[in-house]
Amino acid sequence: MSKSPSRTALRAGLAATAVVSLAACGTSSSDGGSEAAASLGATEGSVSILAWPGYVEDGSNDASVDWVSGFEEATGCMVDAKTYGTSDEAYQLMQSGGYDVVAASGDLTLRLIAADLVAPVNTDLLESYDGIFDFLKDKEWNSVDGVSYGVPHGYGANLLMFNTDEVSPAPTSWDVVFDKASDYAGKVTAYDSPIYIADAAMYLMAHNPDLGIENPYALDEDQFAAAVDLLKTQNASIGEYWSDYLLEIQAFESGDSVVGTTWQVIQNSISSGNTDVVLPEEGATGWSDTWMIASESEAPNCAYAWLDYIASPEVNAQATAYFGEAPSSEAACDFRDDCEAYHAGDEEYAAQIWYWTTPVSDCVDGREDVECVDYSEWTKAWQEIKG
Amino acid sequence: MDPAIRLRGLHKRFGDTIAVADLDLDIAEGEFFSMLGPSGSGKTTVLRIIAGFEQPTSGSVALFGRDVTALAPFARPVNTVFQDYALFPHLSVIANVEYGLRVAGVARKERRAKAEEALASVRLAGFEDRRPHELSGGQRQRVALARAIVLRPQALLLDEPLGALDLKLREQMQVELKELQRSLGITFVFVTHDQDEALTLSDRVAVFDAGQVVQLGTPREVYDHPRNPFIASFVGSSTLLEPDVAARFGLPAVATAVRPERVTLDGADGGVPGTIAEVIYTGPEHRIVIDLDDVGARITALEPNIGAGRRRSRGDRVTVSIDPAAAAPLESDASAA
Amino acid sequence: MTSHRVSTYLAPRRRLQLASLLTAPVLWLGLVYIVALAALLVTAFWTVDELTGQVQIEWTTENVVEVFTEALYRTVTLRTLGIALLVTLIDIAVAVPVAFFMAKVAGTRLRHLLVIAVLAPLWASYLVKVYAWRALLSSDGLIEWAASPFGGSTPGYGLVGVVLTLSYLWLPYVIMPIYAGFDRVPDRLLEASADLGAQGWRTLVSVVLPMIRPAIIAGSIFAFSLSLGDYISTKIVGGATQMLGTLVYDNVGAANNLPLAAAISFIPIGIILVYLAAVRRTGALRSL
Repeated sequence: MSKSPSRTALRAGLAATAVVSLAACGTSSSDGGSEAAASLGATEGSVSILAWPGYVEDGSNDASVDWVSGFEEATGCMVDAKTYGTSDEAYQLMQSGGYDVVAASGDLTLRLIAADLVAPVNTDLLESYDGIFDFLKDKEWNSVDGVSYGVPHGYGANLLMFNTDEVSPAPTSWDVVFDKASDYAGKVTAYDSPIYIADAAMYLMAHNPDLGIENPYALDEDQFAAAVDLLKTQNASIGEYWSDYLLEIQAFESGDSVVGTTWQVIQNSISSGNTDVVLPEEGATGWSDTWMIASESEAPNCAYAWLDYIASPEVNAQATAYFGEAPSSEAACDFRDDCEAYHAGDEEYAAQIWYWTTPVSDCVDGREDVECVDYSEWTKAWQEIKG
Repeated sequence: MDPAIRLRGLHKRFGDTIAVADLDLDIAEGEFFSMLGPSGSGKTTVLRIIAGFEQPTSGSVALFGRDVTALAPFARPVNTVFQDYALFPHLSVIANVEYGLRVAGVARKERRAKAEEALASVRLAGFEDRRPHELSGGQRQRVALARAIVLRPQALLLDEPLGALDLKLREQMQVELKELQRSLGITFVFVTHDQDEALTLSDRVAVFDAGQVVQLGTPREVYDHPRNPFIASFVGSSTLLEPDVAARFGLPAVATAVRPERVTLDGADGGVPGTIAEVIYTGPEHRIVIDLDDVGARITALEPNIGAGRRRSRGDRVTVSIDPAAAAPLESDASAA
Repeated sequence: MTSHRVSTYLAPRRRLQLASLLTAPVLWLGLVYIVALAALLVTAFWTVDELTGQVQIEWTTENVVEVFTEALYRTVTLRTLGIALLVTLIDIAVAVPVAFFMAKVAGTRLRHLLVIAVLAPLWASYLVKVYAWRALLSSDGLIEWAASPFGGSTPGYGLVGVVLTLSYLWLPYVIMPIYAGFDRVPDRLLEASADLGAQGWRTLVSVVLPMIRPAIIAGSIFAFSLSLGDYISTKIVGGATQMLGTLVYDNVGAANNLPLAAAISFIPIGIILVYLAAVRRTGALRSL
């Protein structure tokens, strides 16, 4: 059997790519991967975008919610958008290729960068970048060694929500869902994702300093075991775990849940009026989303145009307001009347947030003497916690 | 002594249809009683009311002096043999027969012995472990019989039990039924639309028409003296003579039914002349249809096939005579019931 | 004459006819169903790249060993099995009297109305019904409202909620075969039983139940197997409850671990095969 020359060539090419990307990982630098664009050319006429629901609205879901048409008119880039439900799904779709731009949360960005699926972004080419809050720029989830991989979009914290009738006085600590959870047995709720283990780790960081946790996403075996144990205890008091925010709204409105993690948008949506949210003294986990450009993009100019457009104050205000999170710039608040509710630009508030990051065996807190527990272990542990 | 079954003012209505109309009936103990009638005449409904499967719209049912009108079927001292046998398909033959005993709480050994005895009495010994679907129609019929009689009911109700059998088997079963009834000595209430069956088996026959008993009597009474044209033609065959035709034969000038076997041809003392229109050969006898002169009526006669002797044929001239004692003057329809 | 000629013409071609009739469906069943299932099960013996979540064709029994040794899977299997059995029993207990009433007591008009009433929920989306149960079970829902005057309260979201919801969801699938089973029991047999001295309950136990046993088993297959694989109801009304279905779902959807999900799916497939084998011995499959 003879191999066709083209297939041999293809395999050689693949092998070379693999070597290159391995080298990139090994030296944890970006010089082996894609290069950021140095300048922009003519737009390509179309751009394919992968994003969370509500991030790319063209009026088809709600006629009054449309910022895509303006982009298409201004740039001539026709938008083809696809939404995803989980970071893992987004990762799979990016692997399959065909997307120019992706909106990624912090637990997805590093994986995309490590697999060389996204390219560095030359922020000098983006007019809107300057106005973005400094505390969102060049973070560990959107940059590697000072090289930016995208533009911040919006952020929010996983807050502590409580029923003001049932939980009194107003809590100031996460202990109401951990050490004192049994007071509300059967009515405690928690986010149904392995990443929630970080919430327990963050609580232990404050309440069990002996464990030496520095970053809730960088847990060695012992620290991880302690967080898992805490969650197993919590499980006895859990009414339900939530991942669908509409169910969470309904559960708090009906009183089935009285205390647990939440998002600001959920508090904004609850109509019963007997709930409140607080950022507890231990801080909170949260998300910060980043617009990134695929390394294999065939429409980089349209992609840059989208990043610039979506970060512009008015559009950013529209999009983040629609989703229910803080915008990325002070200027965007001019176009929103609810910035305060989301603590937009409140640096102190933002500093209390531990943004979602993918746990990997190379501890993200910089420790080199131990191996950290990676995300696949978090996933297994999460199922064990739920029992 | 109270009758085995006493029905008083029995009335049953299904929607707009009256199935049984104001029926009074007494059936004696030990009697083989037939309810004969065409389908839809109400006979099966009466049987089902006696068994308790239907509630009468009004009226009462008493069994052996006890009013059972309000009682459920399981509380009545009668058992039924159904037209389609209604054997339990999931049970063996012996288990079918034992069913009633098991329900009654009879001990295992005893009920087995009784069931085997009942099966033997219907000549089905050796079939204990078969399933109903492995039996022939006649065998199923006997299982149904055994299942009913093993409980020693005070009366046995049979709903067209021989209807599904072929002629040969039916005749054989008729004999067996009669013998069984005699040996058990209990009341049999037998529903049939077959007049032969009713006449052959019964001590008394009630002829049903449109929800009413139109004639009640021994088979001989019903056959020899049908009270109206319906009975005369439904039970056996008859020639109906108009009053003026009857008068020509020297009979009273009323409507009269004449059985063909009672018609004499070319008798010693003459009679009404006529011409043979048809000769039908049935094996044991000849059925001869005669056009009577003058009166424009037809009459049917029956002559035994004795082999040798004279043979009649179409167009032969004959004289027809009727023994006055053998003719049945009919009541007018209005007074028939 | 014509029909006779047609049938003689076709007789020798029956095999051909049969082949042309069945080829497409059998191919479809074979390729789409069996091959796909086999491919899924083979995946259980592959590995997954921890960082990228990509399935790699590297043979290992690790996933299967993990599923059959770790306490988590044993606990969840027992819980799932218990839920499925409980749902099946509840459905049978409710379906038998309902189906009996429909087939043997109700008049023609009422019977048709009841058949429509039983089948009507099947027209509504599965999700709509589960969300309706979420509202019912809520602590400001109908159950709480109705039970609180008597000192009761809603079972809330959890195991009981899952059992109630699944029982509701699969009830039509259990009622219909049992109804058909009752319908096949001639009224004459009920009369015969009564005639032989049996009261209602006795007739039910000795005549009717044995005769509709295959129908009950047929219904139980639906309730049991559908419960065994369910994960959506569990997510919505299950509170913190995990079933085998949710474990598979989480491993595919959240954990990106297809091989482990495939390995977990061995459990319900195995249980169903054992169940069907047991059912086959009763002969009930013939009445499906």
